[in-house]
Amino acid sequence: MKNSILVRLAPMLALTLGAAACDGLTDLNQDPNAPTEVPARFLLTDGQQDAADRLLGSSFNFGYGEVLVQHLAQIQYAEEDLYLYRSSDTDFLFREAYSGYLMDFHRAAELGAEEGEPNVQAAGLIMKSWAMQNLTDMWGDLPYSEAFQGIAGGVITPKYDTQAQIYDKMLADVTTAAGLIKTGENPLGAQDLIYGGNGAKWQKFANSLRLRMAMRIADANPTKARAEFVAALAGPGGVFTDAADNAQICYTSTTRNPWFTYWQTRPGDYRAGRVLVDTMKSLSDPRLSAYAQPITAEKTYGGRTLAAGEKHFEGLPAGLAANDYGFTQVSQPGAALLAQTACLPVMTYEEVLFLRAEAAARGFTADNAKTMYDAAVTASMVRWGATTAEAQAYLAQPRVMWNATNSRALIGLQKWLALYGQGLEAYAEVRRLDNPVLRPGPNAVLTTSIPARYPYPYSEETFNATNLQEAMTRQGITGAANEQTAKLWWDKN
Amino acid sequence: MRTIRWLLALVALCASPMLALAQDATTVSGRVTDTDGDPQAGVLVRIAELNVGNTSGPDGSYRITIPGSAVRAGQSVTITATRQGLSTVSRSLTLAPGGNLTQNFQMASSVLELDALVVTALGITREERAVTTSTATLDASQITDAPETNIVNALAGEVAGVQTTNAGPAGGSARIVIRGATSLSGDNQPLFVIDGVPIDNSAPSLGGYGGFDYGNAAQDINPNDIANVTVLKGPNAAALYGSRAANGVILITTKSGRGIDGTQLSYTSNVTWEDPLRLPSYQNQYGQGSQGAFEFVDGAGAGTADGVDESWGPACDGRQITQFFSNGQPAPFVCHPDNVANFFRTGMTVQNNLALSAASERANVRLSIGHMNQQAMYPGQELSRYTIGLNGGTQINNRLRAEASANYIRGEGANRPGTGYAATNPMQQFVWFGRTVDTRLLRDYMTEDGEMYNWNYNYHTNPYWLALHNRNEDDRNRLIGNVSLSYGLTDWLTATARTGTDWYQDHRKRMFHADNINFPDDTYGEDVITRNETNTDAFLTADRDLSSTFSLAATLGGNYRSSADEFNLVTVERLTIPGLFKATNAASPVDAQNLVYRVGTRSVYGSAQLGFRDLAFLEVTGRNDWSSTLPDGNNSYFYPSVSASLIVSDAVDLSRTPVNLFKVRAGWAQVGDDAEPYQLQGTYSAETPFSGTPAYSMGNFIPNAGLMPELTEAWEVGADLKFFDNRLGFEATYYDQVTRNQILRADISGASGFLQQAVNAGAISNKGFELRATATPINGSNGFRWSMAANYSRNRSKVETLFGDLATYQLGSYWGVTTEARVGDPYGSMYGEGYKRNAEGKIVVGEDGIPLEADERVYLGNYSPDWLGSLTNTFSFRGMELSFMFDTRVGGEIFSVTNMFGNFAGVLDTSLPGREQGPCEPGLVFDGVTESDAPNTTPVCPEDFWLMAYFMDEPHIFDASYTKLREARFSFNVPQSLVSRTPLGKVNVGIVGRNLWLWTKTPHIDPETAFDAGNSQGFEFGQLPTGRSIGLNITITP
Repeated sequence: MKNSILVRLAPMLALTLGAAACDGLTDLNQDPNAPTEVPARFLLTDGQQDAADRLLGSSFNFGYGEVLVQHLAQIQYAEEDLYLYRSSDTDFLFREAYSGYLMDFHRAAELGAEEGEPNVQAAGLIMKSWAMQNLTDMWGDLPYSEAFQGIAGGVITPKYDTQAQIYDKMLADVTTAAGLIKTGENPLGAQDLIYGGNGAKWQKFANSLRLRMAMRIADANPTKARAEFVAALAGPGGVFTDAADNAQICYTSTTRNPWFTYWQTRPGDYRAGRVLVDTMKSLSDPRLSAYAQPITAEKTYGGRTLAAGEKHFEGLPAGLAANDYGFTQVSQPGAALLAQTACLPVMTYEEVLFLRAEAAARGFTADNAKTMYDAAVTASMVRWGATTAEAQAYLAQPRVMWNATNSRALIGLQKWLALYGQGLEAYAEVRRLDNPVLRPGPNAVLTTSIPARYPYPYSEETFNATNLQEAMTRQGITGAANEQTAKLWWDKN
Repeated sequence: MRTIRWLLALVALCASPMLALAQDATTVSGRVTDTDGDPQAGVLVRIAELNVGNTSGPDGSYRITIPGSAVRAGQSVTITATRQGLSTVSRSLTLAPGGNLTQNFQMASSVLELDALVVTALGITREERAVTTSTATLDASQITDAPETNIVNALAGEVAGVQTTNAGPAGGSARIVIRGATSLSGDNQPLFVIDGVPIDNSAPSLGGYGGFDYGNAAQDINPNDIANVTVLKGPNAAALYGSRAANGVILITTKSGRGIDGTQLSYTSNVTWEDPLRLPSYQNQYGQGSQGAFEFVDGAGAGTADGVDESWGPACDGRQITQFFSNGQPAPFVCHPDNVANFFRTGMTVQNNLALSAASERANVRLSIGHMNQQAMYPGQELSRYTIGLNGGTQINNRLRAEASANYIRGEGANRPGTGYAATNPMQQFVWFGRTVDTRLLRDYMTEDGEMYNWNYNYHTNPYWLALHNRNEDDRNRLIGNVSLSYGLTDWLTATARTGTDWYQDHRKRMFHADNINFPDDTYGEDVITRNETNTDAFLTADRDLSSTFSLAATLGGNYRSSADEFNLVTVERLTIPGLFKATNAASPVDAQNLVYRVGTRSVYGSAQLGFRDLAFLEVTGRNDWSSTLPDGNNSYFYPSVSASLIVSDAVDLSRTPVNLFKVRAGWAQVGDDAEPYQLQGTYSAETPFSGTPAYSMGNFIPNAGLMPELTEAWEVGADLKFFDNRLGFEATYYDQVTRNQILRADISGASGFLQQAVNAGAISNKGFELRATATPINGSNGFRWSMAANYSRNRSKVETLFGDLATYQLGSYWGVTTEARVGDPYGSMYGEGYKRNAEGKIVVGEDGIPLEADERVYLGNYSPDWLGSLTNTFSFRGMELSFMFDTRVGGEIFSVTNMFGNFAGVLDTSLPGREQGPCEPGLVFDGVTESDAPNTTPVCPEDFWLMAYFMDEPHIFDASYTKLREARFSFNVPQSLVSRTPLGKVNVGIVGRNLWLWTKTPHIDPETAFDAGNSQGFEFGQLPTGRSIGLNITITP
């Protein structure tokens, strides 16, 4: 009896133990929640959406760029307006950029090539170059040639390329992309939030972006700048020729403009800048009513009480530590910018015209600088709802009228005005053109000039210390003392 | 397959000696009773010389069979009856082969027991003397006399080496860690085991930016169903419970009716009331506003600083100022010192438990019904718990025993407060507040046209709207059960098969009404979370004497574990029809997530304890696991342990000394551990579509197809001593533990295109010392007794290595402060922006009178305490008992964001210095030196000072030491003369207080706090007040 029970028990035990060693446990570990492969076009959509959120929408754009160029000022919690950056914010922006939208674009380009879809590959390269330019213009030297190789190359501490090397690579990539595109094909379709997959438009965008990049290095490497600029104008498909070519992302009532969603819950953080509003007032700029909202408080200004129904605009000075102004005594940014379904520009026709005007003024091209300049200002006016007649009157003013001997200041000022809402590009161009001259606010941590760059993130000190240190040393950054004042490679004055 | 053959061979080997049994056996039987004649179950009756013994059953009867070969005719032996709580009784007995002898025992209650029984791994009961590693046992009364609804909180201060942290609001999570944290990224909490089967104790991972704390899952256990709790501190138990026991085990045995005489009905009822233990100290000299000015127009900036949610306004001296409630007319501007306190109500918790137990010679059963209802201090918050437990066993025949238990638990919650830095946490706006705001005026939170009525229309939602109008509801249905069958193959070898499961489903809904501030639209969220773990074990246990000097207790078995966690989460940002909280009413895309995580492990394990003359014990264990989460080739791993103990007081004659017990023990163990599922392969993740256009992104971590198991290695040495008739006792343990090859998602440079990489990296060591001392200074013959128990523990952790050149691993990061595991540092070190200091360490102040910031980030502290301690005093006299327990945490730091923002906003009394004579008068002169080393004399307006202090972290770091009067209790038995004519039997009445008093240097907050039960400790923001409770407890046993 005892034995027979043991005999009966033994197989049971053996079964339990045998099961332990023998069955296919590892099959259980196939992640059922997510795919291991997706088409490249889905990545492009995600990258466009995320990059737009960050580079055209919240923190990087209106939180940093727009505040730095004083298009906007902070009325409460004026941290960025004082050039005080929390390391956690800096870390977030850096890490999110590389692992998020840049990686999406990088991978979309790779997968597009694998899939045999040159248009997808090209769109990935163009978007990646566009986003990367935004970042290098904030930080200077950055990881690029060794970046995005965490899996593919096993590189988790990528070296920093110089800004010159990054520009070389971006210029090469947009050039390649323009050549890759087959205008008769549309593999992207609705997955492309910018052009709906229209190959011809992508070609123009690639060439136009190449103009922007070429002009940015015009003071640092004029020879290359000129060659690239000229080549871009003659690139396949040409550059933007009207506002219909504008690269922009249009929001819907479902996926809403990030400016709208921010203002919806935090309407009390930003106001239109004092320098911007005053400049526009002094030039009777017709765009003012689109750039800013009239103040809502009935108050006395300049010794007189506002008439009933009078639209009055007032800007907020930059860099005040505390809110010395009532929330309703200074203007909100324009309603069009804050609209739920606004379109946020990635690059516009007027910018191409400004670039061509400058190229002509520099003697890079045989274009007529005045024609280009006038057309640029007019295109901007029209985009913001003014008429061509208003634009002509505006251009007739002595302080606006084209003057070849003062081209840098004129283009600087008008571009600064035209780039309202595009804070990162405006910030790059203000630094490059040194016009208009913007001064830090009274409580800012810098006193003489606005920051020349954005501090490197703390996470890189932790996770990529050797490479970061090398990059800082060669750029002359010694630490907290000049991490905001050391100039970028292309910023020569 | 080789293993199996080996095992079978072993089984066969073990089986052969039993054939020699059963010739001319002698039996000794009898009945054990107490001095009242009531039968006593669970008494171990042993004849030490012959190494035989057995345990008394429910009716107090026992029966010992002595093999004929072991008995000499006329041999005189000593038979001893022992049980925890009873005085040991020994009798002399003369044996005769083949005889049937009777020996009854009558045992008196004892003070402290030498040979207490301890429930060890797999539910096997052992004499305390045979336990070779550090354990602690709590009996039912130590759990239930605290009116705590969460078992983890009830353990606070009870056991040396155990740290509990009550993280959340009522019904929220509590964290428990034994002997310090060993894992960088994984769970550091012990495994909870009920009646031999592991249960889930997961808690929501909230972080500092808010969420709702639904509590740690072990809080479902009804404390009234617990018979005892054993805390296995070291990793030695891992052989029997697997990897997860590396952090220790909380072993819970539930009441089963065993040992009851006939039928017994018992009833327990308690009611407790609670109010906030501590609220921040607010200032009441300046009201809402900025720069000394305030005038309300629309609460959003149209007036003078009326959009500002700070208290840097005019003096609240009754001057006439238009305010939010005054309809555009000036009204006296006065501060309301109790405006925050008024928001909370007195909480009340009612618990009722009814249990019916019955036992016969062959069967025992216990049915219990429990109900708990809590009206929390937070307005509108309510929690309920219903439990039904059925637990029983039956001796089907002489050899076969079946046991089963089933616990059904239903928990319900409504209107939980949000936690962390989130608009849903009411404490957030009390940190940003107008001291002139009378919260009582906000109670009518809605205007006649359905709009929110509030004190501020810029940043905050009316706190009553948050609490009462924005509903959240949750419920959890849970079934924990197991069935086991054991068969006595011989009287020393038993085969057991057992399967147990823990299944539960959470259903949570969150409903927010549009308030045009934090919620521009009606929003809705609904989660269904289902978790299930099933464990099936088959094992053989052997318990026999190999010879007259050697005994063997051994276990050999296998385990089959599978778990599946499923998350179905739906969020709708905008609803179409306001107030209709359904996903079908969505105006924006429904964000839905369906996630499932499955894990399986298979294990073979064994343990053997060899005893020598009942005074020396050697135990070896081993376990091999196969885990689904590791790659083929690395997914099988073996881990052993060895431990030993020696009862020196039995080996050496100490009878002339005051020493009653002197035991030394030592142990060494290794434990392997597997990974979280799905770390081996990268995937793409679905992202929010753009207006219906799908979007996918690459995962943010670099997978690792070569992961290896983690390995914890630990050793401990200890001694247990008892003196002076057991009236003084010490248990001391020193341990040293290292966890290597930790599986973690290490943060890496984002420029790699990824944020994290799955790696095997790092070694963390923990060395520590634990001491428990017990004493009975008075044990009077008149029945008066005073006993004391003290616990002390210290743990020193050190991060030995990390991954590659990585110098640090981030455990948490909030507002610029990081908690890190940095090589060479203790676990949980805190870094952030500190003051600039001169060579002498004095703080350097700039020209504007504001301290300068150090160039580099500085070490700010560490969140781990230096030591923990507790002291319990109990006085008893004829059925009356008075006890109180203090517990203390010494050392460790906390980063308090309540302090940071509360001073920034000028609401705390610590923001007053420098504005005694006016909003900026006379100004604050910071105690520091100028850059030229002269004493600072420059006054700064406090409003500016605290704004700039926000950019630094050091001003908001505090010593988190505290001492709490954790529990005070008075109870008495209602005199028998009063109840003897009623159907009531024994009636015990108790008055119990919890968290009665707090001493701490941390300003404004209770430093026992955390955002959640995870590893990111050391941060505080918007802490919901801890409850100080006083309650009444009645227990009726017929």
